[in-house]
Amino acid sequence: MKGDETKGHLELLILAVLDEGSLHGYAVIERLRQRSGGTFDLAEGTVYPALHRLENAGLLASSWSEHGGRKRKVYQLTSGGRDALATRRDAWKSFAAAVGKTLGGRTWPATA
Amino acid sequence: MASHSMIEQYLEQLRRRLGRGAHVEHLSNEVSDHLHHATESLVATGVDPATAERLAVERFGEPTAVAKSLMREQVGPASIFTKLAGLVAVGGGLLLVVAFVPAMYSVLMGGPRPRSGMVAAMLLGVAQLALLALLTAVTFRSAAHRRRKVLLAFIVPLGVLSVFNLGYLSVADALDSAWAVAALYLLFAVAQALLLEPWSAHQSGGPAWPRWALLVAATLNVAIWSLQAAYVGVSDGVSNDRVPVSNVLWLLTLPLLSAGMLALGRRLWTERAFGAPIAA
Repeated sequence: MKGDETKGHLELLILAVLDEGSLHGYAVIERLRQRSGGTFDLAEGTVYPALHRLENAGLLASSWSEHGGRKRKVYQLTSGGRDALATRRDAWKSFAAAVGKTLGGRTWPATA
Repeated sequence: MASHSMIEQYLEQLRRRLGRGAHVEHLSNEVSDHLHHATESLVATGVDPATAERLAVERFGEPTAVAKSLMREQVGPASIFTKLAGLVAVGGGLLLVVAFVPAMYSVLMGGPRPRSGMVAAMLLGVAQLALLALLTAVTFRSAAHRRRKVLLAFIVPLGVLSVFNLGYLSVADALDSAWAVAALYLLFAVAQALLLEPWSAHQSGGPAWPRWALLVAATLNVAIWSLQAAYVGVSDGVSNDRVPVSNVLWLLTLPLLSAGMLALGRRLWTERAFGAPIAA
């Protein structure tokens, strides 16, 4: 699945991945790819703006560390991020269930 | 392991588009870590180092698009430098508006240069200094270090020209000096285009028309004035006051120049951070 299709959901996906623990940007992308079975194969540069947006909104916190002589930024969920994840996850489940019902629950043309 | 030259080239391109400020180092470090990590992961799966670097860079995305989306999320207080550049641009734009009236009056009146011509010349001279300051400011904040040095080489002659322009009517009337005016204005045209180009690459959002208005108007402005000065230079007995058509054409570039400066000034003033526009 390409970027356009995941664009509206990328923030929720990132929050969900970071719910497992602190990760740096590359690991977030790898985890998204693994957990979706390769479906979310995003242009990698698009994930960082989303991470920064979530950080600016106070849903993520970050810290810098040193790895192999390189500076590495690691992200983690804040308590606000956990709340936002719970809210957005519920909203998504309701939405997905409604879409599923709408798409799969009837024959066409409908016969009352 | 490869020398990571492709990664370094990519990072250099990205930094050039990110402008200046503390955010550049942070973003650059984060992207650098990502690209090196991605390369190492690919090499671990058996990909040769050169191909791994190329794939890592390709997967990250085209540097201009990446820089734009990264800059869009940078927040913080606007720097005093940016605020001042905005004020200077607005001041210069207003001066152009004020100068347009006596300049047009002077041209329409024709004949011996009326007093309003000198008033307009003085105001235009100051406005040109403001334009120069604006171009310098945006160049400083958008161009890479090496490039800034080259661009600054243009700023010295621009400064000379701008001061020179404060009394341009009397200077241009002296036929012996007309060629010098023409040459300096052509240099001004080249410098303006060069100064605006890196800013254009750095822009991270907002309407594109102000910088195009500024570029087109500034280029037309100096091109018309150069041709006029050159014409005065080759025509014995023709003074600057006796070329009304080119004078009017030149004057018509002033409102466009003014609109561009006012719009860019407003944009610089309202920026949240160094290079990051307020989201629409």
